[in-house]
Amino acid sequence: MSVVLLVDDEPDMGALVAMTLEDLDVQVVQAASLGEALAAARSEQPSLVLLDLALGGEDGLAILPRLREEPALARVPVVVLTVHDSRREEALALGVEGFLSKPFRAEGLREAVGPLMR
Amino acid sequence: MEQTDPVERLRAVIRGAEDMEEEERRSVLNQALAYASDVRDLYQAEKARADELEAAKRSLEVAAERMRGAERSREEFIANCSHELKTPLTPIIGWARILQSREVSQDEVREFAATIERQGRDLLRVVESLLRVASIQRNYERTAKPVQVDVARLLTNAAVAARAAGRIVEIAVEPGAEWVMADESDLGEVLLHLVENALEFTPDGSRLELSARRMERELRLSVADHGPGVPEADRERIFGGFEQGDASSTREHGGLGIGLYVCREVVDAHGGRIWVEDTPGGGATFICGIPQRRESDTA
Repeated sequence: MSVVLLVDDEPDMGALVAMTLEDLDVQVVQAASLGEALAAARSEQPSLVLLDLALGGEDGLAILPRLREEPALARVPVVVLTVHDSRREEALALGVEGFLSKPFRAEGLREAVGPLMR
Repeated sequence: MEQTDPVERLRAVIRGAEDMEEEERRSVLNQALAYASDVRDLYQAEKARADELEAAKRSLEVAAERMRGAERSREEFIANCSHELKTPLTPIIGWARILQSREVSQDEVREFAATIERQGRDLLRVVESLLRVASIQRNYERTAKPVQVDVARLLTNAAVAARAAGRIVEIAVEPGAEWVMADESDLGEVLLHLVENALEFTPDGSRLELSARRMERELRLSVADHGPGVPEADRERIFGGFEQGDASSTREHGGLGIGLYVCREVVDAHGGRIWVEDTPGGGATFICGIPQRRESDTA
C-alpha cells in the first residue's frame, strides 16, 4: 500500500485525510514537525507528501530543500494543504506539485492526490 | 534713492564712508552697525520660520508613518483572523462531509460528532474574541472620556488577579506619576491583560513588578515579570493578534493570543505606544507610554 505523509500539527487531520482518501487505498502517516516529517519520510518512503505551511513556529516549505538533498526522497511529489492562501505563488515557485486551500473539498483532495500516487 | 534691502543699505553706507572725515565716518559706521543688527534680526526670524516648517514637516511624516503602520497591522490582523477561522472549519466541514458520504458505525458517528463539536467551540471562541476587539474599538470611539485616573488604584486592581494566582506582586508609583489622563476602564483592561499575560509565562511564587513613572510628556506603566522573556525577533509580532511568541507556546499556554492586540488598540487610541523589553536579570517587561500634557501646562 502506498504511503501519504501528512505534515500537519493539527492532531485530527491525519484521521480526516485518511478517511477522505480511503477509496485510493493509501496509508496516511502524520508528522507534526519538520524533524518528525524528515524521519518519517526516510523510514516510510512515501509516494506523496501533503504539507501544511504553519507547523508550530516552523515554516513547512523549509522541508523542500531537505527532501531534495536526499536521493531517495528528491523526487517525492509535494502538495501543499493549508489555510495560508497568500503563499500559493511562493510555494509553486519552489516546485510543489499542487496547492490546496483549507477547508478542502473531498473531491479536490482526491483529484489532487490520485494522479500523483504510483 | 531708497534701499529696502538691509544688506544693500549696509553696503551703500560703508561705500559712502570711504572718503569721509573722521567724525562723519564714525557716525556713518554707527548707522552701518544698526543696519547690521537689522540684518541679523531678519536672518534669525527667517531661520526660526524655517525650523518651524521643518518641525511641522517631521511631525506630519511621523503621523503618516503611524497611519501606514496601523493600516499594515490591521491587514495582518485580518489575515490572522481568516487563518484562525479556517483552522477549525477544516475538520468541521471535512467530518460533516464524511458523515454524509459513507456508511459509518454508531461509534464513528459519535466520534466524528464530538470532533465537530470541539472544533465548533474553538470557532466560537475565535468569534467571541473578535467581538471583544470590535467592542473595545467602538466603545473607545463613542465614549472615551479621558479623566484623571488614580495610578496606584489602577495598579492595585491589576495586582489582585496576580496575587490570587500566587505571585508576589510589588507596586511602585514614582513621584509625579500618581495620576494619568486616560479612559479608566480601557486602561484598566490593558493592565489586566498584561498581568494575565505575565501569569501565563511565569510559575507560581515568582515575582511581578507593577510600576509607574513620569517621563517628560509621557506616563509609563510597566509590568515586569521574571519568566522566559520575549526574543528580539518576536517583539513586534506578538502585538499582531492571534500570534504568540511561537506556536508551540500557543498549545502550551492556550489562549488565542489576542490580549496584546487589544492592549495595542487601546494604547493607540490614547495616542500612546506599547512595547516589550528585557527585565534586568531575565524576563519580560511590557511598557505602555500614555502621552500627557507637560507638568507646566497642567493647572
